[in-house]
Amino acid sequence: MKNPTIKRLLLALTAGAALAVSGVSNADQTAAGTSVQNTASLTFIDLGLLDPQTLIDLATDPAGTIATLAANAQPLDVLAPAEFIVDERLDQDITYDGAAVPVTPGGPLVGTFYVAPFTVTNEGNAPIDVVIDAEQLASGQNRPNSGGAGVDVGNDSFDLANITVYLDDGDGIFNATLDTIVLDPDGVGIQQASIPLGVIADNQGGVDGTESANQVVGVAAQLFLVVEGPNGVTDPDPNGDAVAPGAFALVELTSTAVDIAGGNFDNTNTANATNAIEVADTANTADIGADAVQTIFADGRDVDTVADSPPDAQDRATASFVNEAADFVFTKTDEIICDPLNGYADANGTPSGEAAENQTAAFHIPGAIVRYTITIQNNGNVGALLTAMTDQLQGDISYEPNFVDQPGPGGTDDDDDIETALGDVCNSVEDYSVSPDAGATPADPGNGGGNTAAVGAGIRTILTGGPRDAVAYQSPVNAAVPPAIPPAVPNGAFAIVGPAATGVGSVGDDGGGGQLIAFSFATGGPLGPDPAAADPTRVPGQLNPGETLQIQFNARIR
Amino acid sequence: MTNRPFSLRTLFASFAGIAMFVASPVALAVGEVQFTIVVDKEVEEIDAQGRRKVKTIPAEKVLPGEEVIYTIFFSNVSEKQLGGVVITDPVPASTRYVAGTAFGPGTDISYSVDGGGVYSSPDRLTVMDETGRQRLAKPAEYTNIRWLYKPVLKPNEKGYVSFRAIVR
Repeated sequence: MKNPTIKRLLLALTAGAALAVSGVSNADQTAAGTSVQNTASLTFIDLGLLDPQTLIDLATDPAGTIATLAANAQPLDVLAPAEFIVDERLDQDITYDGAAVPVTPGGPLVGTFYVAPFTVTNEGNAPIDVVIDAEQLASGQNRPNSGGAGVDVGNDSFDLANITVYLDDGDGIFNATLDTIVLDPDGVGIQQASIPLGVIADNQGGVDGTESANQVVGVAAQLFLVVEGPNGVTDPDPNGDAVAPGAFALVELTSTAVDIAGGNFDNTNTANATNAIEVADTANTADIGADAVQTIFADGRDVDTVADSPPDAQDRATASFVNEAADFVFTKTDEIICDPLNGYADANGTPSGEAAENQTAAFHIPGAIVRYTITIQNNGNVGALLTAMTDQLQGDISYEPNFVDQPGPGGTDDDDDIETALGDVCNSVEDYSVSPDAGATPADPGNGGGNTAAVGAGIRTILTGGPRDAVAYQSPVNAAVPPAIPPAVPNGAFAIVGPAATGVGSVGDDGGGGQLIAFSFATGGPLGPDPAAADPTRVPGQLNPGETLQIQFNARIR
Repeated sequence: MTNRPFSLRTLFASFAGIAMFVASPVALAVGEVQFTIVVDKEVEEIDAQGRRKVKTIPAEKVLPGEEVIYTIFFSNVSEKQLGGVVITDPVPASTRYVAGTAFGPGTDISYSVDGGGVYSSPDRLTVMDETGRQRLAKPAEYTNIRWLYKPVLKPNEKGYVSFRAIVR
């Protein structure tokens, strides 16, 4: 309370308490401080003064006779009524109202929030304030109801960053501007603020349907545990732990009742093993005195925690966040197409020369053409948007603008416009006036085209993965951010295998003696599993779970 | 009946002043009858052997949901033969009667759902439901309890009645 900023916020919260009331869920109960009075009466008859007939009547019909006699009773003396005072039953409950919140490391864009809703309810019979604390569970821990009522999602395995808890303004919808921060552990200035939870009169019928005076019911407030993307969810997480698809981050909120007069309850006095514990509340002088309403902790055990806990004026609930990000497996392979010495196939597509005899295609020698196949497979749980890919070629190979295809021994070739002139294509491409294959043409089926493109023998891993390859993507599907693309060349030299796709490729000088191949997925048409059944909802670059995108191009060894 | 010679002495007393800090019962004596009321509650204790024992203590601290026990003691402190002892007690506001707990040796017990206008046995007590039809009253709807002590209360004899209520 020394912080004037917090004090101002508390005042604001109190003034806005009515807005924060989001309904009542607990049963009504008698307000603390209520005097329960009782007045009984007793009548009797001096039998010695009754006539004989009345005595007979009294013996044979006592109820009727007494009722008759009582009807003639004299005015009665009424003495001071007995009374006891109803004490404060301190009980509050916090629950997690949502299911596991899907999150995506690295996304979404700034200003997008992952929201986990909680409700904290005053279940006592007097107004209280509560404060909220948050703890990110350690890896391997779990909690009951972390996925909502009755759902235990499993163990925690990663952490979030910059979590914040807001108090709803009453509309039940998170709004970072309208709602009020009540916990911001990493923030500057306000880090924790009290939440007033009053009681309201409810004399309209109790749990048994009957009315009674002095009945009240505690109010509830909605809280939002919020993580802002993209910095709130990262892979690896703030601890450096990898975040696997389907992994969970668990965050436990603890609500602690504090004395509405400003002092904390002494919730360490748990020596008494009974359900209700009397506490010495010396911080609040209003609770001391002959007519004091004593405060009894009645919160029982915390059902949303692993271990039983004594009444301690606290309750806990845990939210879960699940990584439903895309999980891209990115590989790059190459295969030799031909070399200048061995050639590969004759003008009729038949293997010739040494290559035919040896049943080998060619060797990695200068002048040979190598095909690179880049495979991007989405093994995650949600779709993602490919935006850009770059591939830097080393200086000892150069991009080959002609998409020279490989018929393969005994195979067929459906784009023979290259191979008909191929006798020794690797010796002099210029001799053959080859025209680039159309980029959108599926690859040779005999070469494993289509959605099930296979990479044959001779896979080289020299360029698989590694720092020379990079894929940037966003998820979920969102506005694309076009990458900077080097000066474009005709993209016909690219062949897209897998989901029929279009895109824009370009080749440029990487400034270091090599070449930089850039591919933008964010322009052109949408990727799709089947061009004939194109999904109109797909956007350029979208790659759904289980789909694979392959990109092939050729390069010549210098 | 008014022409019959009789004398009716009526005594109204309050339940003893069981304020939370005044635990001692208050006895009231008017002429022939001493009339005492106490309010208790039960707590469970675990003894040194780990056994659970229920102990009755004065109801000084009471929370919503807790059960209290009202016990009314009466005794004839006169030399007269007394009869027709009737104890009536409204179920206190902010509490509800606990079914089946009204008790009193030698008494007939009846209840009221209209603030003491009519007393009857539970199987004859009805209230009107939302649709205007009569239905049997729930014990929580009882407003008053009446004990009719059937024996003659001779000089120096004592009796008691009790019931339980839950603080709403």
